[in-house]
Amino acid sequence: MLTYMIRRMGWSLLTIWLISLVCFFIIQAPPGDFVSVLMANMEAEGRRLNAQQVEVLRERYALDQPWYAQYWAWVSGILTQGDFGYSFRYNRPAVEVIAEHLPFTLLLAGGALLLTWVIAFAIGIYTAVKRYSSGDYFFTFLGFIGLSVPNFVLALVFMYIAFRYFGMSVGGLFSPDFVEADWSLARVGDLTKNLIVPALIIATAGTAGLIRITRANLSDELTQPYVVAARARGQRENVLLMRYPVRAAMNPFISTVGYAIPSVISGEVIVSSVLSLPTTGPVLLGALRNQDMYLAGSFLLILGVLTVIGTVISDLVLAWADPRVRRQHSGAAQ
Amino acid sequence: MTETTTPQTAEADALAGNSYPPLLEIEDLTVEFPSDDELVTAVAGAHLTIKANQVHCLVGESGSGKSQTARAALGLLDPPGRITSGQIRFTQSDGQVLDLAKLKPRGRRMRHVRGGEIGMIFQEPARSLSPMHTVGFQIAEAMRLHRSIGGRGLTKKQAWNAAVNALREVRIPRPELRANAYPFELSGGMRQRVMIAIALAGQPRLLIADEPTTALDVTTQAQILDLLRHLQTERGMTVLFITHDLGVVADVADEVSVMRRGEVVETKPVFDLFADPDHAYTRTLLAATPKLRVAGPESAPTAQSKLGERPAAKTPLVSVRGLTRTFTLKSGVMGQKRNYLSAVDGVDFDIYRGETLGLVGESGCGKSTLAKCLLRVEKPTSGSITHRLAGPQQVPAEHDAVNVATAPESSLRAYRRQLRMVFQDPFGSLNPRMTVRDILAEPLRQEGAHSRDNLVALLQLVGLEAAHLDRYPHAFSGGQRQRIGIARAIATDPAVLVADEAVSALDVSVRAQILDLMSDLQEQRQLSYLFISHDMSTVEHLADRVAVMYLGRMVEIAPTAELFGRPRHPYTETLLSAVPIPDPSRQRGRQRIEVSGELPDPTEKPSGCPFRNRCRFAREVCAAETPLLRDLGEGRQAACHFAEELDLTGVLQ
Repeated sequence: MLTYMIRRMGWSLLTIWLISLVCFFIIQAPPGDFVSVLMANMEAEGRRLNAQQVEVLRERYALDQPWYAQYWAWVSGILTQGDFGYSFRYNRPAVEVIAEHLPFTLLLAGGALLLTWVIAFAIGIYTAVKRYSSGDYFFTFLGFIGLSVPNFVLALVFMYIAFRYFGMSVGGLFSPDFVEADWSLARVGDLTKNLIVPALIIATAGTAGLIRITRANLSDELTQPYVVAARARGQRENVLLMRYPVRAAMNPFISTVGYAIPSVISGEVIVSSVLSLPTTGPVLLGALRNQDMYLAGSFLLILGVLTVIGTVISDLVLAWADPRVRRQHSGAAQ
Repeated sequence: MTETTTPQTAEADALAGNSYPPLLEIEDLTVEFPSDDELVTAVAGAHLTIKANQVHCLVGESGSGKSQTARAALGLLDPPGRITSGQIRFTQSDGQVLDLAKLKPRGRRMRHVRGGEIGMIFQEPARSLSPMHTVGFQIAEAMRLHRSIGGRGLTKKQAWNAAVNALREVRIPRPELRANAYPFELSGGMRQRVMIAIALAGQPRLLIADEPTTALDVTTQAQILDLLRHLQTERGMTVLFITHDLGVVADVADEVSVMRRGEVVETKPVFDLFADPDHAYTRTLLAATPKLRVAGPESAPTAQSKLGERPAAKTPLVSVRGLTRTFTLKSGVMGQKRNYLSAVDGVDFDIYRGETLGLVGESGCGKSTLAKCLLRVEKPTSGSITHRLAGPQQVPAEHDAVNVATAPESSLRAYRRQLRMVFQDPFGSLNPRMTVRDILAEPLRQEGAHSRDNLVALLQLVGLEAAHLDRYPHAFSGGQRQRIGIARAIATDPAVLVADEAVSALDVSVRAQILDLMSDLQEQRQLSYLFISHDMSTVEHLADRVAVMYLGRMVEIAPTAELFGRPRHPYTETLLSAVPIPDPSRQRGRQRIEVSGELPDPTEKPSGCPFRNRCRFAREVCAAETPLLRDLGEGRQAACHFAEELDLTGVLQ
């Protein structure tokens, strides 16, 4: 198990390094270096950088040196000082822009993931156990709608319904009364209320997929001899259901942690735009459109690293939950 | 053989006048599986009476309804199966008689019966245990469901201790440690012992064993049967033993019922059934079972007599020398630790024209890897394979033998046309999207010339018809599919067929037909067979010579009758002793050789002789020196230091 963990960590570090290289080249891709772009921008606004400032910046990002030195300057800046570079569009360090938006994004992603799990778990088990019943057909139908309707359409529909029939203000993270208010229990409640709709919208597609996977997996497990054997020793039906086949069908749930992060975050771009939520998605989109490359690159790096971390966590949890992974991967050749 | 005394007296009692009361009475049981387009009747009005304290065997071929009968008793029919009529009367430990057919499958009373009154073990111990839980947990679960101390349920701790004790009772060494193991960390035999421990946790009066040894090796089977017999006598339990293997029946049964197409056609005490079967179907079954006959002048194996001369006199068709296939297992953080596993380890043998060489050994001994190396599906690590197989144009007699073991892939086409394979699984080995015509034409593609007539001739050769040519494999039964597999193998007119467990998946009567077909083809075409099987009685029936493998090495090669009559290697003796002879009086009169231990991990072979840690004759020299396969004269070879001195017991007297 320890060897497995160490090897798993080693591979993730390698992956993160490769991701950082890719991000670096994305930052470097547009013509001109950072300082010349900055100068051009400032000139457009009628200001000038003096020669000394230019020199300091060139030195900081090692712009006169070969690409690997520039890469090193960039990476070491991130690692030692948390300096992700500079956003031209916001005229602030990129890290500040990200820090402002990331917590809400993670909150939204976490909420969406939680909803996905809870709904998919319950409906997945129900549809597998009651296969070919009217309930199964109903949820299958609902699932396919969830899979096929684009998220932004759902967002619009939700907005309309909430506004037209419930008189709720949809959009933004807070209701008008709470936008400027201090943190309080009521404000947290308002945030939660406002998060549920976007989380639900983002969760639909993932939920539908996961329901299908759970249903298929669990249906396979339900006919396994070990289920019959558990029944033959006199175990209660619902106890044995949760203890044996459901446990064995849980693996896809755990694996979702890894790949849910990028899909939730990318799914969130359009939904957040439609619902005007201050999350990372619209900011990333804007950065890409405006060639705000340090901001874009930093986003990509952070998302990439989060995905890798998510995958590592899900692998480790999988190893913890499934003895076959834990005990067999300890030394076997890949 | 103290253990057989009770069943034999029971047997006598049963003959004298049914001194044991009935425990389970099945009357007019019908089980149906309705589906959208048809109604399958799995059990059609079966009658069965199982008396207390007996081992009652239920025999039949696949699809005869024997498993469904047992499952119906416990309400374990897979949906949409249901009992449509009949009674299943079971006498509970408190004397109350329950009709199990009337109980709700998910009700409380049925749950009490399951495990508390009737325990059950299954065919596939590997899949009957949850891979996500330790075996101790699963036994403890059964303990908590059915046992109590002073009217109160067991605590987790008590249940765990009871589980450890239960493991000890099924003779699992170091039970405290094993209780923490997951099923995939145990061998097949161990897993079945765990299943038995679970089934017996509630101290049931009846144990239903559904093909409990079918998936196991013959030596493991002998150990499990021993254990069951021991537990049955010790606990005064009744056993309903479902099997297709008449050898096992002869070994364990007091009474036997034969099932066919959902009906019980005959029930008799075991000795009577074998000596004087009433029903025609029972006679067919008995006739189709290879007997391990007493060798005598009149009953000499036909396969040998037809060969005419002793193969040793001729030059071999294929010669294998020092064949080795080693696998590398990596471990450690960077894969820096390496273990080497020699699945085939310096094997020597010859195949002669027109002979059948049987290859036997327990699973994991390297039989299949050897076959793959021979066919060059796997490339051998070292050693040589030389052959004198004719190519498309006749090779001159003086033609030098070619070493195929090291030959490049591109030069193997002619060799592979001469050496063909028949596979074990008649369902998996035929592409479901190809018609029979495509399947048969595929190996002939290189030649370009195959007319419909050729293919029809091939089909007729294996007992199928021209009309079958355009059908897909799913339209055929298992036996017919295996015929198609054979037709495909002989399409290129090869000299050698490698049959890897080619009849193991088939029912006895179908198996007999396929074996007959193989014998006919051999006679017509002077085919040589390398017949790989774990089933000793089939090998005895078919093979001219038999090679025995153990942990990647050949331990003995000898003409069939000699090998079965007087083995020269202790491992061969062990194997033979474990084979149940389908004749109760012979089987129960045999001297039994205790099989100790299990097959060791192939990466940790003992030094010297690989068999020494399980061998009852092992001495110091066995650990120091590896015995090589030596010539013992009369066409016999064995790899044992004491091959000449030991007086070993065979199965043919």
